[in-house]
Amino acid sequence: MIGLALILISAFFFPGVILQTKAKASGRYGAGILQPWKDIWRLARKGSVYSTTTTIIFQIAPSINLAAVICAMLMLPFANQPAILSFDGDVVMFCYVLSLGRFFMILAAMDTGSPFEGMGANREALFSVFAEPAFFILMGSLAMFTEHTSFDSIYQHLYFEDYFSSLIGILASYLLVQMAMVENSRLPVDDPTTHLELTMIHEVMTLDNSGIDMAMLQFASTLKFAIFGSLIANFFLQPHSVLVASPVALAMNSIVFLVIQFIFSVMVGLLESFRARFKMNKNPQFILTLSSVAVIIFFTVLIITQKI
Amino acid sequence: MDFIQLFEGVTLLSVLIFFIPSAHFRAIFSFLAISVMVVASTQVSWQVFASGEVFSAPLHFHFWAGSPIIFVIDKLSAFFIVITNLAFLAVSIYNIGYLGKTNPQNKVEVSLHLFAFNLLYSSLLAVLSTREALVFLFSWEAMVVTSFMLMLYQGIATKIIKVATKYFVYMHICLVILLIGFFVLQEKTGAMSFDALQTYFSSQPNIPLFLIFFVGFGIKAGFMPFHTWLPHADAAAPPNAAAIMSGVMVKMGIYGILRVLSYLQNDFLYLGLGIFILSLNTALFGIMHAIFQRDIRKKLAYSTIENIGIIGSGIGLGMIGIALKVNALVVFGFMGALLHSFNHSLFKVLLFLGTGSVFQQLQTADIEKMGGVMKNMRQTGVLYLIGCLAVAGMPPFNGFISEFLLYNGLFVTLQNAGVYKATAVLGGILGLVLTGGLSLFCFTKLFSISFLGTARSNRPQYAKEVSFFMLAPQYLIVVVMLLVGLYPSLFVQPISVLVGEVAHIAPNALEAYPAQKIKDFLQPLSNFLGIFISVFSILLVIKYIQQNRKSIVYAPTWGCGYTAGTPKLQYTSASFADNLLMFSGKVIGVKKKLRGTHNNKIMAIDEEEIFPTARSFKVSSSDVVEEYIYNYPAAGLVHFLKKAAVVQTGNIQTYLLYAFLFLLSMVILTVLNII
Repeated sequence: MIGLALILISAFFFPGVILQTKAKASGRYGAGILQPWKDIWRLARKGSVYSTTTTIIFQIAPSINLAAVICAMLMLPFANQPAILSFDGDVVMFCYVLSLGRFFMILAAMDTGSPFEGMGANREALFSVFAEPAFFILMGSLAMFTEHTSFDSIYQHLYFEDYFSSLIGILASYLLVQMAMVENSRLPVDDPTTHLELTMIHEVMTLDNSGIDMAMLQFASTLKFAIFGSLIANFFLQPHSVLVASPVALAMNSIVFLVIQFIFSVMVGLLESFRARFKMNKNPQFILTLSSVAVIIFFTVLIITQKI
Repeated sequence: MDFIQLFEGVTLLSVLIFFIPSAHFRAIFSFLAISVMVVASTQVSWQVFASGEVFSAPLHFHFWAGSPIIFVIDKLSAFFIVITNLAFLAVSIYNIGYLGKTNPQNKVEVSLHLFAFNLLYSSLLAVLSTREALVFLFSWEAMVVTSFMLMLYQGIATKIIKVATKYFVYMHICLVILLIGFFVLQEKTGAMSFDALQTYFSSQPNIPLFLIFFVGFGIKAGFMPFHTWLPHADAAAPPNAAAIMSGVMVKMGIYGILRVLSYLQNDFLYLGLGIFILSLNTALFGIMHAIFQRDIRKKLAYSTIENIGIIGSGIGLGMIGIALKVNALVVFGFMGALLHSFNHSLFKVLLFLGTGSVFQQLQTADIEKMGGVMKNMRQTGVLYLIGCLAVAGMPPFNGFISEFLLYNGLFVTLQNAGVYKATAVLGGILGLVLTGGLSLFCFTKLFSISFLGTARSNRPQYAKEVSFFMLAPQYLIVVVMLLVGLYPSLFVQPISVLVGEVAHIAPNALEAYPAQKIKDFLQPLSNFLGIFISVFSILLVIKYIQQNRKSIVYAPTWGCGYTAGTPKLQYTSASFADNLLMFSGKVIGVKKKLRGTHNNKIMAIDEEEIFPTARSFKVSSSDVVEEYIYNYPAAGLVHFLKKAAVVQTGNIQTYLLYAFLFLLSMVILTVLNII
């Protein structure tokens, strides 16, 4: 439960920290760390506008997406605290349940009949084709390294005893940061603050959403970021049985977790400030590069476990 | 009345269809006949699973003196009988609604169609329960002929006749190859039956004969280089027949492969690797093609090829597992393959039935002419969506469970794998993930272009929800699908027993992974899906409460400032797939052509051209395998034969000359004592 609370706390501050970092980097004061939450709260109290073209799918899609993200979040462990839902092969489930959310978001966007939203939906579908292999290779490598197939036990048994093996942690963190950017459609793949619909992915898919649907979507997006943040943060925690589950260790782990989440969001903010968006047709190549990084991790694991 | 008597009686009595007055009652009769047999054969299958004993009984009619036809139903047969039963039950209910509404060209047509349908069911049961080669091949032939007749419903169009003939030819090539396999068997062991494979494989080299059978059954199953009949056949057949062909009949190929496999003694590694690689290619090839099709039926047919690839990769993994003694691979591979066979028959039949409903209402299967069908056909739309989710492998539906088992087999194998094994497994994971991603792409496209958005032609506005008889079987299938998706542990016991039968050569595997262990492994999955559904319901309730108090406004879609949007501005089938061209354009032979509208010449837009003239744009894709392996050599052969046809002048004088020359040469040759 502590892990869940920590993820929620970091999700709470995450978008604000990113925005604040971006504001500071571009020489503005910024709207304050809580502004994104104020937006979500405001949206959650509003009425809704539905397009007459849409069907029931458009209305249930945001809820399915949020449910998928929440359930994916429940599978994440925190240090020696087990995940709320953990089972063998939950890494596969994690990916598929997020896919389910994406499936419905794509349908909802196409449901409006708007060419712009079609564009976003199309790109989202394409990028997920290319982004998923990287995640699976990464998790396959970690499964091979730790000989376990659930997040819980992977992180329990993952410790880097020497410099070589901490290379895996560094590469995996890099990969996860980039994947978080792709999954959440941020720079360099997509620019959430652009003003032109033609160049958007994620934002353009939600053009017709309003009210509580929009609030759910933004909430889901925030949670998704925090999920990736905690996937990264877990690499740096001290879970193994050597350390007894003492309150001190727990407090240390919690602080480390929050600090890493903070660094992650600042980094996202900085990346967004100083990186340009790719040309849309170059994106698939960029995303495929992530898979090659994942393959490097795979072979690093093979070398470390002395199989090559 | 035991099963055998019922089988014979009902098969013979199906002739009565011709004497029933209206199409509606004919379909009801066909349904009743099939449901009687479904009940009987399901009961037999149930007994086989419950008691563990093989059902065996002789038929009352004989082919030739002295050799009774014996029906032998073991667990493998029983499993595929259950698959067949579910599909036939659903489709026969659907027929009542579907065939009652069509306008047959003459009265016999519906009778003939239903007669063929009932006979097809009987012949499938016979295929699954006979072991003697000749009887098996006879049933196989009966299956081919009856399905050929099914395809020809309303088949006055020459195109359909052509495709059906093509199907017929393919299936006979398949038959001949199987016959060769059995002849080889006869030559070495003196017996022509599946059981003789036991002695053959323990004394002779395994690879050649297995390959012969694999090719034979692979043609029926639709593995990649042999798949080319399937898309054409499914697109030409009426949707209810296509549901059977795609959902059940291709499984006969899988059944055959598993049957032969269960006698295999050695060489598992090479054969397994071969099947595994071929299957992954089949899956990727199938799904890439499926994305680019405009015709729903062709899309679904290529998706069948993809799913056969997934099933095949499970079989391949299981064989590799047997060879390398990796218990997890044996159990999860075969389990995934078997469960996916079951699942695929469910959602493919569901999708084809949905397609049939849409086809009946819109008189087209071209998704570019649909759009917004969901508004007029709500229930069909929701059922279709469930089918799409399941075929894309989304939780909580059944397609996910079988893919999950395969993934798990791969992940567990990774854990203590050497470099070669690890790389091979990585390849497998990559193949499955890419297939999964592409099928998400394919089925979001299929569903959204056809059912969502605004109408792309004037057809959808006249569509109405279909009748109860057409919806009921789809609900039935969805219930079974949800049962597999949410409570997979219910199905573990029988399938695990079945794995023991198929992979009896590796008994350790099931000891390491007994059914209980798999159940414990799948139980959390059900819990997770339960939690997912409850979270989703809570969110819906929250939303309902919130929206109850606020204003809901309905307005047109926001056009980003552009107010003159037309349905033509929507994403089309081709434009949705366009992004993927750089990835798969070569594999699926995509050609884009810009033509001038006035001269019909291919004209690219020149950079120098300041005011381009009107162009028309066409994207087409072709099956590269079909083009280069089948059509190209065939065209060469036809070309050669046409050249050779110079002698065929059509003049009676010339032919008389030929006859004269022949006689003359005979005389000369005889005189010279050469012959």
